[in-house]
Amino acid sequence: MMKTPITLEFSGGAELLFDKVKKHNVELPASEKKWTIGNLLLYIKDNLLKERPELFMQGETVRPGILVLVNDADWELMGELDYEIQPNDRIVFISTLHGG
Amino acid sequence: MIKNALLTMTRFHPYHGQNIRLLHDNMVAYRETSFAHALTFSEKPLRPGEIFLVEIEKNERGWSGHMRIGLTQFNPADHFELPQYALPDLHNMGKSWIFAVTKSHNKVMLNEEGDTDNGDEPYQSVIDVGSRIGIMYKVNGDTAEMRFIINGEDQGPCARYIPYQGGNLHAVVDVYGTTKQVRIIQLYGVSTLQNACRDRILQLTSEDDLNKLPLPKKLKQFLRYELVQEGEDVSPARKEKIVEERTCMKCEKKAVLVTRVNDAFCKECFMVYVTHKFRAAIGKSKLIRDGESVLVGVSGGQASSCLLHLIQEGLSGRAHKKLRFKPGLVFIDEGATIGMSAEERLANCTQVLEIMEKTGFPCYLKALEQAMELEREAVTNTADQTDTASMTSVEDLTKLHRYDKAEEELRALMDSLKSVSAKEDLIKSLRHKILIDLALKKGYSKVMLGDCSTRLAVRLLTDIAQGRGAHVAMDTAFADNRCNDITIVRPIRDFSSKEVAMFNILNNVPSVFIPRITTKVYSVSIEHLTERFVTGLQAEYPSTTSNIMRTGEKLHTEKKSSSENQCAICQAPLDTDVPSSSALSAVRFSETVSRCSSVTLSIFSTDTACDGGGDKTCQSEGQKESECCGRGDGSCQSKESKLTRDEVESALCYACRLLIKDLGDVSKLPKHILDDISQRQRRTKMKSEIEDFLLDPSNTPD
Repeated sequence: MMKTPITLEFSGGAELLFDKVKKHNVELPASEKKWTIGNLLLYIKDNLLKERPELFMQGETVRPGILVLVNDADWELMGELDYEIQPNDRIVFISTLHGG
Repeated sequence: MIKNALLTMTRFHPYHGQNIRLLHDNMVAYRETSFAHALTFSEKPLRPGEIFLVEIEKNERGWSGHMRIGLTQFNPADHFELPQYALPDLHNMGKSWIFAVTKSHNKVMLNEEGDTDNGDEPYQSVIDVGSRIGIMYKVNGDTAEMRFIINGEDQGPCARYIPYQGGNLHAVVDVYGTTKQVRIIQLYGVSTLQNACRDRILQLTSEDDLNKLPLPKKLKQFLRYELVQEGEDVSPARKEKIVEERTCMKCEKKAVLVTRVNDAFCKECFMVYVTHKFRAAIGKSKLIRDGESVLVGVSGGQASSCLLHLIQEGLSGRAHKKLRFKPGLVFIDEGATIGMSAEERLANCTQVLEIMEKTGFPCYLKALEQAMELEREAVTNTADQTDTASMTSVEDLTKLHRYDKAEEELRALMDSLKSVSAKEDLIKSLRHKILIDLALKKGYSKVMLGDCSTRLAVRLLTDIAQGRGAHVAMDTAFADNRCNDITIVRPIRDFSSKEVAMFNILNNVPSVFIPRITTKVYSVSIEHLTERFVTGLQAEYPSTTSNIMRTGEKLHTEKKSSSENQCAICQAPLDTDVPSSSALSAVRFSETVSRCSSVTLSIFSTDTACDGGGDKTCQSEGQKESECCGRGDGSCQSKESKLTRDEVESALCYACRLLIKDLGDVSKLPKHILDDISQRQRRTKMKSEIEDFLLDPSNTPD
């Protein structure tokens, strides 16, 4: 069982919810289920998000207005929540919203 | 109109079998468990000719048989005891004409085995997911006949001699067997124009006269419900989930972005697309001339950084037919509005200034509190932009004059506004004032702002919500010429915020996030809520912002005549000089009446300064006006009187009046605004004094 190392980046104001840290190097713990963006979001909510989860997530997915890029490509092209995360992926969350 | 449409939407009746759960505003019926007790009814009785159409949304294997559908004269509103099944139980209760939907219902080809599960199936079987099954009945003299319409094809009558006059006929669906979930397809509530016309025509003409209508044969068939079109669902395009690798729509290489509803672009094609859009927006308007001086407002955020990068690229020699204007950059520090510490403000300013300086264009730094101290100076068009007196560089920052007094004034003004929406509105107006003032002083003829389409769509709806409907076009158009000398230009107004973000990532454009008054706070403003609404809608329906923008483009601006007709705060044309019988004067009248209890108010004066007979309950903020001696040669020593609230209001547009309403003390407004209003008051007064002596141009004999 291998851990999956990935890089998470937050910008556009989203970093305010993560202690103003823009770049996070994370090792996703090994698990039987494959790591998808959907599980990653739950992981972020439980472990990295410091405050106001409703400003980052809405239900199971990200809040509308937050753009998600996987290796510099739109996550819509990768299957959105169902994309399976590969080791050393770089996932960027950019907030395009005004108020937080 | 919309409300009526929603009311006429077809739904399931809330009384249904116990294993059924209704979803989506009662338009979807889902059988949760087991296979019995799954009867559902139409909410309203079916009218003759009206089609009740359902689509199979989910199937569950392992059961035999499929859904049943038909008509019944039992009324669900009676809450009669529901039988387990439609067939045979409900049928045996009488007054019901129900049929099972079978595989072979539709005239489709099936394999020998009739097995619908293997993938070789060339045609869709009627019981598959996606199949649309409808029923309707046609009146034939005293009775009616029921017909099936399956996947667009009329199957002909399946039951005849239905005594429809004996009672209302409700559609009934038994979500039975493999059919797990069905959805009603809206044919009427959210209607096509064609359907709406058909409804109307059928209301007005009798059956016999239909044939005499001068319409082509196909339309007559349509009127008689003999022609059913597929896909009458007129909801806007929903986002499709992408299942395979998408390639760029232009060059077939690997795509990096999906934009513009559903188009995929690769990196290179996206850059070409973006650059082209930017150049086209500027070129099409023909507003920016060669060599013109343009002031670019940089907020440090993503959109203005994107704009900056585009300008740099466009002006560089590499560009094909490079742009030829002379930009100057300005950053306005708004830290005072949220009580930022001086160190934080300094840090933010440094960051943004560093980015700006890399471009090599002249940079200016302003603070929002400077808006409190603006002076209305004369304009010199030959002002020199390279005048380094007020240009700022990073080294100068530490020596910056702290605008403490102005900062306090601004804080006092902000604090006296109670709602966040009003604060945001005022900040926006002050920001604009600073930009215009700087442009005038330094001889810039245009101001460029980085407003992207998402922001502008939000702005449009917010404006309407705040009473700025008259200025919607100005606030969201490419060119905004509310100030006579300076035109505000928005070159990236066609870029969605997603495109902006993607552009920045692909080009490593640095941007700085600076919090504002609505960042991470629990209280919200109208703009914040509108943003949530629009972005939420955009996520499901990607054409939302473009629809809003397109609609906004069609709203025209008014022609302005003079500076007297501009709002003193937002500079937009006054929309409040309306005749005395308008809604606006009615509102003002009731306001004054509720304030002063004096009965001798003059109803028809547009200037509603209280003129009750010295009543002490009057609340208007009148101070003793010291009369001007009227010499007019500069020797007048009369004190400047404080402006009353009503006087201030008379120089404001409707939305700014609402803003002032929030304000406790109008004297907290920036001095130059108050000066402007005073001057207008004096002018009007003077005009009324010499009115009798003015020659009326229309009366002058030739």
